[in-house]
Amino acid sequence: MGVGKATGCDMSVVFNQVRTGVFLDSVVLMRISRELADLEGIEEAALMIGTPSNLAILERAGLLSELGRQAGGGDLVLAVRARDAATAEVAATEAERALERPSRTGSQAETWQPRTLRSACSVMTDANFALVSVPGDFAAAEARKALRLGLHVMIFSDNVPLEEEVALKREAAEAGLLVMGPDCGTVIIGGVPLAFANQVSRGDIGLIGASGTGIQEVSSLITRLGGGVSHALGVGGRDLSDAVGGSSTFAALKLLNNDPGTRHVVLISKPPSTAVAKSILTEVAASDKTFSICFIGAAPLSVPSNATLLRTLKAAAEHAVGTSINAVAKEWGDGSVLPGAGRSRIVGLFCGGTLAAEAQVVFIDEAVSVASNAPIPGVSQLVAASHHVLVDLGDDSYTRGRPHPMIDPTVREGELVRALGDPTVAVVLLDVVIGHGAHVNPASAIARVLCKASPDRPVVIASVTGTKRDPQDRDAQASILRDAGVLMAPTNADAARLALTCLSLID
Amino acid sequence: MPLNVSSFASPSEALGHGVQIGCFACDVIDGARSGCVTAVFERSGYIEVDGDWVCVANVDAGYNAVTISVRSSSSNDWLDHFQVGAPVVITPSLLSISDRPAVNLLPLTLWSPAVAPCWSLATLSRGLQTLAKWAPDARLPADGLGQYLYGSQAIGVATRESDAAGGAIADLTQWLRGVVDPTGESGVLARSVRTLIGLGPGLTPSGDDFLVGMLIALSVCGAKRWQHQLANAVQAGLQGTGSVSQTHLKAAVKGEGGEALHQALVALMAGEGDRLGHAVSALDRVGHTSGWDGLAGVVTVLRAITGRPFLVRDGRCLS
Repeated sequence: MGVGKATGCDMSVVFNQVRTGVFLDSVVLMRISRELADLEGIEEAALMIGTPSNLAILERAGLLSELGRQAGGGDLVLAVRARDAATAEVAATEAERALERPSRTGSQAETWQPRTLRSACSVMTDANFALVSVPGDFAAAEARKALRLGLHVMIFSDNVPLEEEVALKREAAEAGLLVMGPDCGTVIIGGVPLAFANQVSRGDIGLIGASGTGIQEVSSLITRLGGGVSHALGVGGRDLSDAVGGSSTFAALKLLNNDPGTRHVVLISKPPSTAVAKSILTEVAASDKTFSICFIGAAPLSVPSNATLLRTLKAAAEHAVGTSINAVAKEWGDGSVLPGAGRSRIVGLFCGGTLAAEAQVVFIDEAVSVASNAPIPGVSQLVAASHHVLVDLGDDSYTRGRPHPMIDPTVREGELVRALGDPTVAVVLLDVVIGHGAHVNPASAIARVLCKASPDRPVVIASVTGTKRDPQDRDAQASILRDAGVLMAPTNADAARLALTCLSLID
Repeated sequence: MPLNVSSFASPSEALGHGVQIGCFACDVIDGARSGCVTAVFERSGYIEVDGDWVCVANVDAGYNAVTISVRSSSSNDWLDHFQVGAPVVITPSLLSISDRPAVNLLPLTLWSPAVAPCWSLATLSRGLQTLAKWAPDARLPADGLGQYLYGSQAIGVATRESDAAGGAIADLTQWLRGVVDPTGESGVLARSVRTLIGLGPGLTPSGDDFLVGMLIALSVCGAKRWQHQLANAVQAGLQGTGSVSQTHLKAAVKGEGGEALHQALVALMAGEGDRLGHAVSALDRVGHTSGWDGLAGVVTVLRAITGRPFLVRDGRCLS
């Protein structure tokens, strides 16, 4: 590895690092270079193989030092331009860490790491939980191995066939184990966040969710309201379907019922099967806990006396804690910004599927017609001619073969640029989901697009799902967005309502 | 050859089972006895054999001319012994890494890309017209050269790569349209290839993927003269890119590449909309932007062919 520095124009510092024989796939390289570019004080960053063509564009971009100029096609060149030498050093250290992370080199072979569940269990004899994150084709087989080793399982993988899910959950039920998933993105057990989860306060509220971002929004709001979470158990998006029959939800209910640290339970799902919902509510009625039930967009149901049915995630969190978010929220947008004349559409671009569904509920409740690629009952399917649209960019049609927009905000960039340039769009509505597993700085990615937009762009409204203790810091993210001219709302539901209010002001 | 324990290893001990091998990979390992692991990724590894590289990849990565596709009952365990620099021993039945059986090569069948369909100018035009349905502007990635899918003017926000590639793609388009003086063709091709080759991030830079798409499209359409001219320019410029990408370019010079790109190409030529939709979805999953970059190269060629109808006869481009 070679390291070189050069002083560039305008007092900036250009820093190059050249590594020979390092091969990383393009998705990893792009992710690392974006992470570096987002670091404070970094003006520009690139990570490319040192072919003559790439060296030429790095040279034109003022990113090349003498060391970088010597690189060849078999070398990986890290090139950053930073505001000062200290910042460049930070980027170099960060790059070092990021580049070491995904590599499989000879030296790593010297540190033994278990490659199978069985070998992991042989050294961790008290383990009782496995997280399965492998391509969908293999996930069921790995989950089955875990169950047979007596482990509860979280299946992060998606694309697991429905019949496999049913069989796994049947086997788990017989063994008294819990299968969380497939496609389970969020779990918090005893304060330990797994996969996409937030750094929330510990407390006496348990969550069961067939929705990752639903759990994230509710657990984060509970924390902001002064409450805390005992455990948050994901069950997979299909669990409350007729085919699966709520198997994992029943198992999770049983676990939380028996947990003395859990006082109250919040149950979150997109609309469940009516038959399954009724069975779940029968189980709820038999519990000595109290419940907030949020089946987003579902038809009204009769619930037992120890439960309350809530329309939105925000309402569910408020009910669980017994406080209103508006009493504690620091931010509300500056209402003086109005959409320009002739603009009449709202375009919502969501990373979180349940957040998109919650926004749909707000539109329905305000009797405003809306379309979505993931419509809840009462909302029409998205077509080219749709007026107001709320798009779930985490839907399979957008993420097949690509990172989820929570990991890579550029997945949303194309849609955002298009919406900002559309003269019919009055309001662009965004969610920003932070926490473990999410992008290091999603707000900056949005701010970068906004700073290139025309001054008469649509109004942009957003909310941040997460907490101040998350790695990205919710307050810092909100501040970046506010500085970029985004109207901030305290919750996702409030953001949707603010969008409708903005529209009504120009009507 | 030194006595090696892997000579006694049984193929049944291998964790992975080779299911298909591409023509390029087959040519490289045919008769070879040894090699070396040169790169390792999550689902694949590369081995060098007599100066050429071959990809050994999990079957879900898709078939490719340069790839031995491997199936395993347990995720990617077969890659456990792949370490950069590890010695590879190849027998007709087994690929061993560091003396450990890794991939069973029996039975291994030869993978061939989709054959050229029955096509005409009418089917090709229909295919290109339906492309916008499956690859709307909004679906094109912000990075890479997918921005050139609808002509030599980039769509969307320019990037360093798309800016640098613009002139070369315009020149290649002019060459295909026949507006470059024949005496200057080799110079234009050499300059364009020099600009594109090795251009962009990743192991197969966007410029290389674009050229791969062009080479394969020219080959499958039967545009022999054009293919020969471009192949010569690419071969002359191969040192301008990394080893992994050189492998894919060498296979493309022979007219072969990845399964998804071939599927998209034949769907475009035959004007089969649904098949094109599936192929575009598959390309979307190839690399960061590689699939889209390759498709842009394919479409650049196909669009040029529709602009020169007199060259198409009996389902072949008479270039």
